[in-house]
Amino acid sequence: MATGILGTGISGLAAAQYGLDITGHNIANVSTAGYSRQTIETESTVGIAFKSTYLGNGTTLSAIERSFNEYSFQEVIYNKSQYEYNYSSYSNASRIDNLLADADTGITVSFEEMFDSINGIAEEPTIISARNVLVSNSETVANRFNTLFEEVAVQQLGSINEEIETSVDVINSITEELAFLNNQIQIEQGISDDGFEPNDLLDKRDLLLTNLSELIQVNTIELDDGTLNVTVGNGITLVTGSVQIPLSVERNEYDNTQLEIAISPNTDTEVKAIITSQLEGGSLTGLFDSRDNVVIPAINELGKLAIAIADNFNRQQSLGLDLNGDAGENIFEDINEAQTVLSRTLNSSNNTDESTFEIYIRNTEQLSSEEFDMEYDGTNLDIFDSNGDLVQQFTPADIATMSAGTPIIVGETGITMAIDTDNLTAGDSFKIRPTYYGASAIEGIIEEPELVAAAGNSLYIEEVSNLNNVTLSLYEITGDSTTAPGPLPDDSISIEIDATGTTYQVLDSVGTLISGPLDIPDDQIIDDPVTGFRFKIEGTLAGNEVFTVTHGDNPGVDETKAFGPGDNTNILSMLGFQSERLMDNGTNSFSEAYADLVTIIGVETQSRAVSTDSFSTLLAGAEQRLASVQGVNLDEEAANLIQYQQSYAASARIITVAQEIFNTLLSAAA
Amino acid sequence: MRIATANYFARSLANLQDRQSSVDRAQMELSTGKQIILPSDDPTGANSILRLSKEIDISNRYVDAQDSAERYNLTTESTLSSMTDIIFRAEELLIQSVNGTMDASSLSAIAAELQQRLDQFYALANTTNANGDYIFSGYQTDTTTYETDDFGYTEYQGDDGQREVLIAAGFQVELNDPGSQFLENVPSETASYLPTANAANISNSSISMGLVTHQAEYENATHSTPYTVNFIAGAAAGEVRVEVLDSLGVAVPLEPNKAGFIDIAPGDSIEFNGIEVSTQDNPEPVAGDSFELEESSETSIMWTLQRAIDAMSYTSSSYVASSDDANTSTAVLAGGSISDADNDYLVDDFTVNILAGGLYEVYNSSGDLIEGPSDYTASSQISFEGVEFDIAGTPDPGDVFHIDRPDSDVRTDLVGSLLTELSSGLTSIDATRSEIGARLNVIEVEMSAQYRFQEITVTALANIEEIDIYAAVTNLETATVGLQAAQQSFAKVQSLSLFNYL
Repeated sequence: MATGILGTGISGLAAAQYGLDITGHNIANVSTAGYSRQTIETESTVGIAFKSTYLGNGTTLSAIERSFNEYSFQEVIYNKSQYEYNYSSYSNASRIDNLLADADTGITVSFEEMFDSINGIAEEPTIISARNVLVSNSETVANRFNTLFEEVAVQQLGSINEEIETSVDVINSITEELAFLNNQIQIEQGISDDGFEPNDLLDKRDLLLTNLSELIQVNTIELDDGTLNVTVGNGITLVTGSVQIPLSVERNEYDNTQLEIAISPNTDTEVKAIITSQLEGGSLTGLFDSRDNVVIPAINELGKLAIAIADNFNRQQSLGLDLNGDAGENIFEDINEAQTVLSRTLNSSNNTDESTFEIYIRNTEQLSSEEFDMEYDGTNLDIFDSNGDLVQQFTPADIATMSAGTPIIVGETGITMAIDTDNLTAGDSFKIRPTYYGASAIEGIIEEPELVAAAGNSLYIEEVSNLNNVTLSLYEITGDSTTAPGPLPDDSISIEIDATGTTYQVLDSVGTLISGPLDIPDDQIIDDPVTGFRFKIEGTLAGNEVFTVTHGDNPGVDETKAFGPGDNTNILSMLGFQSERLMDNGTNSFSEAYADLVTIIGVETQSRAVSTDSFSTLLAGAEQRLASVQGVNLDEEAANLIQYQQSYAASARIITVAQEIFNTLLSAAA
Repeated sequence: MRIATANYFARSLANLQDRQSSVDRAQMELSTGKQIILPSDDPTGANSILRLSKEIDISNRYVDAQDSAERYNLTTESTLSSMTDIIFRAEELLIQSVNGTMDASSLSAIAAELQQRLDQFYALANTTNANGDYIFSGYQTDTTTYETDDFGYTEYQGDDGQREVLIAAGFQVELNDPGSQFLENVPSETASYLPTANAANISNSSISMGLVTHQAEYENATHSTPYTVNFIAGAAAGEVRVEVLDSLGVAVPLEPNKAGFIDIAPGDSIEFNGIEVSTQDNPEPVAGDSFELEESSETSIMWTLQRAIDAMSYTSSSYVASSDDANTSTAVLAGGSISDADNDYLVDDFTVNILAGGLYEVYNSSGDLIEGPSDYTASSQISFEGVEFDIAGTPDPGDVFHIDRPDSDVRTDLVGSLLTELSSGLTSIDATRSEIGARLNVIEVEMSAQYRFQEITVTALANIEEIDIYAAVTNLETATVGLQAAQQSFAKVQSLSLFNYL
């Protein structure tokens, strides 16, 4: 290196050159994602000793630094995770929000049309066309439910599953690259001098972290060797040094159509732990949030509505007579159809052997959209609600009864349970989803318009003894009402409550026991398994009540209530469903229950939208703050360009001066 | 603060997008007219919208039901109004018929018109609506309301069913009125006797219901009901023997001879206690058949009209005598004209007893002796209160002759009671008409109530769901101006660069 003025000039030229290079680099990367503005730092070289001081002899490059603020960066990736979490959850919620609100896809329109046609039949029960409208409207209602189920449970859950798989793939490829970069950075750090960090590699790694944060919220720990450990949740390691631990997608323990996230606790084991519930932030976690807190509850809620509708209309049909004078048949598919009943319980994949259960919906007024957990401890079979509270405990005796095919009522859930295949082993667990498939199982099965049971039946209920004035009304006729309660000479039966009001028995008209004594359940819906009559008792029983049920179209005994095609009493009862509060323990009518569902989804969507908005603002602020440190400002770079250009020119001038001095010396010597 | 160029552009772009979505939202609100487009826009509002829309849907259903309730009731009302006219005309005709100057041909003209009116009434009672449903059959809308039985009497085929529709919350109104409620069940001045065949009957033959043709005899009867009509053995070929027992098993004397039984040709009618019952000739009754005649204090308007027509054939103005079944002689009484009525003459049924020594006594229906003992041998005549009979043959002492009042008087008696029945029928129809009137009134009231309710609810719904058009236009303006400003300022600012000056 030349010393003296020439050397000084050359060192200036070189510094200006570096400056121009970096400025050029900055300008070129003005739009590069994750790029941090770089600056050069120069320092004066220690010159030649001169007297008591040193004579400076130029400058030297001391560092190329990237402008970066770790705190702002952490703020950005945190807010990014939160924003993406809320946004992905919001997107899924708003998909249902849209679906339910749309007149063409929602339930309301078809449902109200169904009541219009019921009103039409009530006005003119003999007109076939009015009945035809009900037949097709009931099918439309069922189809609307089926479509919603298909849209939500199949399409939307399907696309959530796809997103989960894609997200995990992306996460794994990012962590793999992070591990690779960690390795590179470690090497570079080892060989480079202080002040000359591998800036662009660091940028690249930070960019990867940003991208990763969009999918999942991560924590990072930077080690002295320059590598970065990446963890999720409660310290679950994804990257440590140059090692990546990949996430994997596993099937839910109970429902194999639902995906969960798993990871191997260490690299050399095949055993995977499910960590879905530990994840936080990021679009992946948002998917689980919307799936578990919006989509599945909505499916259960819709199912509950579909089941309640089918149940009430079918039961009312059974209480009436159609245009041919025959007992009404189901409008919708039976809610307790054999296959449907079996589909309501799911085995844990950890169970030794599969046990199967029959879950019957018994009382749609009590039915909720809740899912239940069931556990077998080797003795008792316990059912817990979603809060973990015990709903029902089945003793070994109960289990034996249920295995024999007799269903037992499950608390106040509106369902009863029997065991189809008993392979219970201690530690087995199950999930009960009474309403999940409700919206998919509903089907309009009535085909002939004549089969709408508009006319009332011919049964009279009379009180013989009724101290507390309770009402006993027909709830459903499961047998053939034209033959039941026969074959008695006077076609009548009596229902007798015992002295304590806890059991009932059914007798024929000459006092012979038909069935019972049987316990009166809490919901006071009692069955006569022999004649197929189901009654609902309203009021508090005093004990010793006696009611009789008589056929009013019994030739020779009682011919006062013959069938007539102009009779509309039964369809009037169906019309009452338009405002009767038949759901949610008597608090909601069908349309109110639907309105509640729409509202709940609306609230869920709205709150996610609000969170998305606020995190969007927070994120923009954080990004701006980081960018103010990290980002390239072209004006600034233009100024730098001029500055370095000028210092280059000035340094060059130093060299010309040196040459001129030298020339002067030469000419003087000549 | 330092401004990073890329971040500046990104932020500007995000701002522009925000502005644009405000414009889009404002435009969407204007074009849909709604401020709640998705439930998440305002979840509670969306809930109210669903509930209010449901209320409106239900209210529309009430209005629909009100329309058809009105239509049905108006149809009934107009039919009943025509029925009323017919009854008025029948009353006029009956009043004419008791005018003393009526001769047989005038009466038969009246009978002919009454028959037409009855046919008309029958057609009205069988009115069907546009769907072909019988409006007076109750629930049995596919059953002809009235059919005539084998003896020409109308029989109600429907039931008591009254269909209701829901015209307001918890408020049902009747659509139809079954004929059983006002065409049947009219209080009778006399009685109707409804036959029930014994389950053990051998033939399928039936008997007609019993209706009173001779008012006075009916009123004088002392037998307890129900009657039993028995076909018994002993009749000659081609005839059947009939007896009638009262509820105590006592034989009821049969007209004309007051016998305990009578042999008649199948298809002929029997008469006792003023009641006439017809038998059937195909299938014929056979010995062993038995029918119970249950007394009912109610009648049907059409039976009354039918009886009125039948009564018009009672024209004779002479008394008729018949020999008692127990008479030992074959003597008969003929004539029976009223030659010169006494001052205290009263139309009645009389009994003539032949005494020993050519004497006779005459008793009226109350059992008072009004003539005799008088001698009949001189003129071979029996006369009392100006009524004269010629004796043919020689009566034995102890013979009894029953003198029935002239048919014209029977008719007059009967018409009086039939007029009362018709006016009861009219009352019954009027009662139904006033019920219909009350219903129509209620329907009107509920209709305007529903319209008012709808007005209020639609307004409430609009307040929640629909945009305020002025506010929405202002919103759009503001959003557009904001977007424009953002665009212009961005265009200006982004062109500022130091590089422009290098």
